[in-house]
Amino acid sequence: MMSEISVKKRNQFYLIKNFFIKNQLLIIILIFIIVIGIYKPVFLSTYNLMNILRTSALLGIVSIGMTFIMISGGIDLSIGSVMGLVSVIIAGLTTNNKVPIYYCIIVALLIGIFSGLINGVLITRGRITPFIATLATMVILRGVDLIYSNSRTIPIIGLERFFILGRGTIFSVPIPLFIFIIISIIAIIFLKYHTFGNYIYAIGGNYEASKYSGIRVDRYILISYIIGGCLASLSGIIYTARLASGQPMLGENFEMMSIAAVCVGGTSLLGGIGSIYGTLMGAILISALYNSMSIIGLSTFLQEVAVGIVLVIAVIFSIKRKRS
Amino acid sequence: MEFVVALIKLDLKDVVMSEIILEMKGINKFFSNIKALDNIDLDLRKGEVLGLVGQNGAGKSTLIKIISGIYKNDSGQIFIDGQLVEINNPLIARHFGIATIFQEFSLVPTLNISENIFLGQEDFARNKIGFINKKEISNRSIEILENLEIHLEPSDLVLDISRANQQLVEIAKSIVNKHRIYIMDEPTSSLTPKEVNILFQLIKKLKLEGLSIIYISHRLEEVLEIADRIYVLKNGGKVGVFNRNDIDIKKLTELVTSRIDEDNIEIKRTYGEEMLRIEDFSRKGIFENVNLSVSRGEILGICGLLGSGRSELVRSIYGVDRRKSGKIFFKGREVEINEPMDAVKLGIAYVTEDRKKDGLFLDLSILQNVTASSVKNMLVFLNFIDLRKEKKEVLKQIDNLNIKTDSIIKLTRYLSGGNQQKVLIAKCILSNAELIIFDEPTVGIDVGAKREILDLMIKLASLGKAIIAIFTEVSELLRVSDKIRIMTREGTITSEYKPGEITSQDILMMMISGRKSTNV
Amino acid sequence: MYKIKNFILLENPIILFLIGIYLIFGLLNKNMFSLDGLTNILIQSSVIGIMAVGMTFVIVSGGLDLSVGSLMAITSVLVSLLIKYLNISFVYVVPIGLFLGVISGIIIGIFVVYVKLPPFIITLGMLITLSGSARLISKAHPISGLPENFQNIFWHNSIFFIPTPIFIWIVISIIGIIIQKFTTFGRYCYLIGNNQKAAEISGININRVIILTYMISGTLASLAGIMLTARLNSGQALVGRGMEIIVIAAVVLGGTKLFKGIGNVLGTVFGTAVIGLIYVSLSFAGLSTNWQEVGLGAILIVAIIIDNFRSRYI
Repeated sequence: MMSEISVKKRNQFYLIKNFFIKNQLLIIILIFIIVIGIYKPVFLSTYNLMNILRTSALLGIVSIGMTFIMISGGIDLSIGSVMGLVSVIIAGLTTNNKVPIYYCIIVALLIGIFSGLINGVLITRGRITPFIATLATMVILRGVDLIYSNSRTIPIIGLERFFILGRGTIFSVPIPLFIFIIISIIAIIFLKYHTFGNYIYAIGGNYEASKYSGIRVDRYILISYIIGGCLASLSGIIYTARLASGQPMLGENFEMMSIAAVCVGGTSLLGGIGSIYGTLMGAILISALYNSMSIIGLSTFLQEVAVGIVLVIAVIFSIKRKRS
Repeated sequence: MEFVVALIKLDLKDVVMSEIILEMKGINKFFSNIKALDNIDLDLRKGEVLGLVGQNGAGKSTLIKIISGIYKNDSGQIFIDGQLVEINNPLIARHFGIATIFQEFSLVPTLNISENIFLGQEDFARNKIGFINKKEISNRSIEILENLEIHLEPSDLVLDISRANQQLVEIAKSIVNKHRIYIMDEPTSSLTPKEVNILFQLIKKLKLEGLSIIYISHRLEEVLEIADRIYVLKNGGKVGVFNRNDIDIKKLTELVTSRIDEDNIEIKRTYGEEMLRIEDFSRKGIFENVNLSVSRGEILGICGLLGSGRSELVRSIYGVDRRKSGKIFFKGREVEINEPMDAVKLGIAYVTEDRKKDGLFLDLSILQNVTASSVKNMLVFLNFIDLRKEKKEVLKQIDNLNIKTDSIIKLTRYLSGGNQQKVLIAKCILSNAELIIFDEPTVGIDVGAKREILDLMIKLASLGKAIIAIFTEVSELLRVSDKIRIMTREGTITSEYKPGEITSQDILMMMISGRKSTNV
Repeated sequence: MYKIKNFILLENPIILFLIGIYLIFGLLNKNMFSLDGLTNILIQSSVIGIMAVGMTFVIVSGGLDLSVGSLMAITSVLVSLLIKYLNISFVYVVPIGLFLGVISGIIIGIFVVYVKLPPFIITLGMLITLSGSARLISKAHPISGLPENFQNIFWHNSIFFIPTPIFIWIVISIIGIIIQKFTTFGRYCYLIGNNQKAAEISGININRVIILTYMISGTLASLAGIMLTARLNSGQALVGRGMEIIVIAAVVLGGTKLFKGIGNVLGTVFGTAVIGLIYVSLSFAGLSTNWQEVGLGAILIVAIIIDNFRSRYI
């Protein structure tokens, strides 16, 4: 029988274990970086590390949205397609239709919100499992993207102020990273202290219990998908600014990488547990992984294979974690 | 229909015990054409504990599911605080202040105790833009826990605490949600005596606050201890309501159990070779040192309450549950049964306790269900199923077992409980099993079908099968068994009795406490 | 008469859907009603249809196989490499290609059954691995210059007056229907899909059946890859990209439910025909493949929603 004292002790042990797990990732990242750095010193150059952080910012912004969705027990496979669509629409509107860039950005954000809305409605009203629903939207959005852009890159010319979004720095921190950090902080606060955050943990932990406690479960699930779509489109906007062009295949595989980052960071595929901090670490690790592979000289295809393997392993751990 | 419910602290002398909070009149409930509840009248008073007793299949579960909104009554009326209400789903039930304790849909395991207690009720700690002050929630939950004298750390995660403590948390949560009617279904089935005490103290506190409890249990002595009045159900009908002081355990037992049927089928059976013998079967924490044996033509009846490890025992024998120690001998030879396939190969069949969960293929036809274990024996050519033979065999079984259906392609989902059970028995017969294990074969079945099934079991035995059957209903046990073993709450098994050697009262006693009653 | 009505309405309403769409699209483009048009539709459907038969077994037994598209790719690459650089006659290369599908299926099956992870994660990982490997091996370039008779045998030939790809599709579908209705394996797929625990308790060898379903799906995916390779006359890592969704759509449209043990190969055949129809009519209208993807995604959603509501009211 559990007495009060032993539960407290277990709690402490749990906290310490948690601490180790969270920082475990940090330790792994550090070890990884050092090992690769020894093999190829250029990996450790400031330029390269900055690169890693910049990439992880783009991945990270999307992954934050994914974190919310996965904590609530869902999944969103369409975020990559949102990025691609947003990219070509911005480029197309501004280059072909001379629409002022500010409006383009607003349209892009609306696209993200709208796609999240569609996903959310399909899942909560249409009662379609998230996997299938977001798989379908993924296909549809990518299709629209390719139709609109004719599968061709759309260059953006001369919008230096826009490009800064993806290439510039603030206080010597790359802007994408800056935005990522700010969003992370907001996300952490909301997840911990706001009703929304608390409720999505509850919903992911036990949908029925939450429903019967009077929580409007469908509404919160819908919101999480809208946020996911919105953040995906934000990442797409920044990425487009960085590349100075609309890329129809932008975001390809981002959903896998993002799921990997989130799972590696400790969020469970089954919902109910997870943290933004973990996702942050996960995004950095995955980006570092990708980066290291190109430094070593592996082809992009092998990189994908490696990420695939990491994804599977990350998910295995995340499921085993929830089970224990 | 809104009413404001306030949690009022009452002085003992102010407790108005006679105010009726819930009333049910003329409640009827059918499942297909089986009447589960027949003209039920029930009233629940404010601040009382109403014990609800009756056997498996008597209708207790159906009744409380109607109260908690999971089922809808077919006719009759329900009144709460004197107002006519319709309880169409669990959310509405909660809205009316009805809480069901000890179900899976109550707590979120990944949140901590204080978060769970106030889940959905955080308004007092929430600011205008939606941020929640966790400290306040924690403090308030400490208050509540202290008030109820529950000694738990609010920051502990629910998945880390014991079942018993989870129950207490559920009760605390219901109080916060201002529920007034608490339904507790077999709350003590996996509690130690000390935990039962804590629960009872809590229940007494709830009574003082004017809250009402419907307490369901097979453990009659417990019910007599905690309930103010006791409501007895039998075969879907009300037997009566008694004040605690007006009834004793002997009378209660009599009312709850059916008479032992006089027309005991006395087929002189010859017992053959020993089919199964298990020695020193143990599974940590669930049952230990169980030895038993059963022979051809013999029916071994096992009984025990929920939580005594009886289902786990047979599941371990059959290979569904893995971890165990001990030996199994089949037809005299020692064998290893590590998974159901091994058991089936030897010639053992198992009719599970929850046929909907792991016995039937609900969306498949009767035909496919009945031949699930035996299709592989009806082959023609290489690997092709002889459909004609299959159909013939199935029709034969349907005829033999009197399964009422107009076609064999009907989905089993649409059959009545009794017919579903017969489908499972047909499956066992077709699989040519020589040992059949039944776990609560008469649960959720109407009286007529129950008799048929029991007669079937006896017939199977007379045809040379060995049978192990688990029962909670003592009269059924006595009716079919050639020998009886009882599993106690501690997971041990008693020695063997023949039906004539022991009374049903003794059996009940042993199930509850492991001892025979001292005064007969 | 009653039986036929039941057959259509209750079990395979997709037939109505199929006929309806055919009529609508046919009115827009009279060509569709001609023998040529019909043949075109069926040829388009054949490759998908072959894979869909395998996928039906996987889905009926409660699983999912997302790796079929990338399996096509790697088979395509491997097979064309063997033909071109090792000069192995395609007669031997075809079995090797099929073997690749078998192996992939076994690996997936083992992971599903013994590591006990959700099939969609495992097959997703397989998808990434295989497509990456395909691109790696082929260095993203098509491997062209395959012998002409390779293409001819598969695509410019007829067996019993039916164009070869359609014939292969029909044969495989018939075999699929036979296996599903008449073999123990087929029966077990339903039992496992409807209630895995009960199937286990009934003594069925779940592991074997599940692994077998993935083997079948893999083999048929490889076959489809080989056929497409022959058609394009080159091995490409792009082959089959995105196909898994289309194949799943065909199966779901045909009435098979996900994770429930309900559905059949015949329905899948009709579902495939619907998709082939859509493809052809969209391309007749001059729209690119991307429109087809959009259209497909939309139809998949509509089909599932209709299905969800249908099961609520039945």
